[in-house]
Amino acid sequence: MERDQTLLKDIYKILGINLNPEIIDVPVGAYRIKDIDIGFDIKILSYKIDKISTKIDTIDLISFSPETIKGKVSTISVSIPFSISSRLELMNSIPVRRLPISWKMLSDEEKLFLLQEIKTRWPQLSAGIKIIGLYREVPIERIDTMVVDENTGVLSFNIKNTPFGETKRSNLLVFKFVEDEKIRSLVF
Amino acid sequence: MNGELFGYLVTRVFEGPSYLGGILVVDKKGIPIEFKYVEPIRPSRLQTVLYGNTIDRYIRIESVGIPLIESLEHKPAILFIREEPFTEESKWPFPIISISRYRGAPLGNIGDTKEIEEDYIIQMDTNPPIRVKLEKRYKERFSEMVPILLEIGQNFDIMEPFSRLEEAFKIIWRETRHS
Repeated sequence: MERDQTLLKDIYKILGINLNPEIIDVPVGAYRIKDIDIGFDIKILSYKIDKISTKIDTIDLISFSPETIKGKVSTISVSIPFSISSRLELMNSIPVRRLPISWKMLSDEEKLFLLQEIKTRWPQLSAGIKIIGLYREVPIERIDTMVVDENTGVLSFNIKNTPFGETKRSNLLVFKFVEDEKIRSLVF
Repeated sequence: MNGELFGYLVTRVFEGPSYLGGILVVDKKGIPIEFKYVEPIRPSRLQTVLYGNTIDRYIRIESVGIPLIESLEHKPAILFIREEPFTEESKWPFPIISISRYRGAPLGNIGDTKEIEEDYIIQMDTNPPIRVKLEKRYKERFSEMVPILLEIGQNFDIMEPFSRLEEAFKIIWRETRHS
């Protein structure tokens, strides 16, 4: 490196410049070539003289940025985001289940009405009835589909997707005639 | 205390783990009025590590329960829960009651109540009795709630809406996995 500096110094002398060049030993990342006018305001130490003519072509030595170790601070949100959805129609598609009430819980007037109604509607069937289930306050008008489990008496029904409002409710009797396996119902 | 509407809140953990929560408001006959749910929440591994053993409670309360309750358009007279850690969290003008089936002997008659440890047992209908766990500030007002609970028992099984929520979760979870 000293030899190079001496060589440069000799070149400067030929050019009539009295300077002590110093070669900076840094890795070269790229070359930027530009023309410069020769003059003393030039930071000659930063340039390597490549060619000598009426002008001096210089090669700007762009060094790699110094290798430094910097810590990067990352901020990660630890809050757990959520999204709320509203789907009443999904809930309406899931059956509402009702357990039957006991015949004993009906008033005498209700029992009498039911027996008379059955006799009037089905006069040809009179051997007796088997009650599958008795249900209070069933929203008959809003029911989409209805199923009665003959063994447990559990009534399952889906609700129609109608707006929330006052719903008319009725009591329901589900039964079979002893001589007829057909399931029948009576709203009262 | 307005006894017209009742809320049911359930949170459930599916594989992943993914948390799903829903709130159902029913009328006094058990008919759905409003249903809202939180889309499945799957905490990241980093969140799981950072929250440690508080993550379950945090998600159930802060990410599911509170937002759902606050999103309700129809405020219930009573909000029923099962095991969710909500009874001490209430900041709403209605009680939050944890209910479950009592495994002990039935009480003599419908309407009978008794106190066991810090809970109440109530015979609401012909089903096994219900164990009621109340917020501290509502304990002295339990007697006011008994007629409301009994009216529910006359109209529908007080535990039944929970099973509807569970059913809805299964549908939502299936939809989520297939989407």
